Amino acid sequence: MDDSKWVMLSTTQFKDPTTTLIISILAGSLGIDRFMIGDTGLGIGKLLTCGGFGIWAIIDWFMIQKATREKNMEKIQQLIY
Amino acid sequence: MKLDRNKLYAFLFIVCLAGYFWLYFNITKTAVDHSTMGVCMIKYGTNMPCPSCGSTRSIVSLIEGNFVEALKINPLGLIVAAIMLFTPLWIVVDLIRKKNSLFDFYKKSEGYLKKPRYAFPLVFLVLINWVWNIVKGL
Repeated sequence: MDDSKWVMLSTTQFKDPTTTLIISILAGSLGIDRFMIGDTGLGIGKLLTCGGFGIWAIIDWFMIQKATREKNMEKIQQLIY
Repeated sequence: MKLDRNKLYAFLFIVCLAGYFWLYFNITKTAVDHSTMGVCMIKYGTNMPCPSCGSTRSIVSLIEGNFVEALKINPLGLIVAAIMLFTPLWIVVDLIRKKNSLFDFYKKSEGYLKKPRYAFPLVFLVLINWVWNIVKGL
């Protein structure tokens, strides 16, 4: 990886899993946690279904941190390769 | 969890199926005691409705033939109804033709809706709907 990529990498905005977890707990039914990590489609789905009847909102409490890290990883891989 | 075509279709199918069960449950419940079952966490916690509160009631009203009533209860219900109607059909068509048209449409829409000039008006509409819900006392 050359230095120019390093500069791009160090200025990339990553999402903090702790922040998305807090958002998920507070406003998960509105889909805001999914919107934050870029999952617009899933976010709309959550919003339209009131957090998937509440069930999806609860499931995402446990899944959102891993999903955030995966999205961050995708960003890194796009830059490096 | 990379969202590929099959995962998306399986997920959408399960969600639509759950939606139909939910709808059936609430239609039969409405016939008995004229109310639907509430599942909104926000309403449970803060006593205030969320933007999509009332969508079940809206769809139930739509099925009974009251389009205007459905719109007045919650316009989002109509969007949900359209999605519940067309998504399973589209999935089946794609599976038969071995194409990805729904997946491609989903990905393209995501790209569009993320853009601020589409996102801001939509967010604004959702907020207006939310305020309307609160005013209506849903």
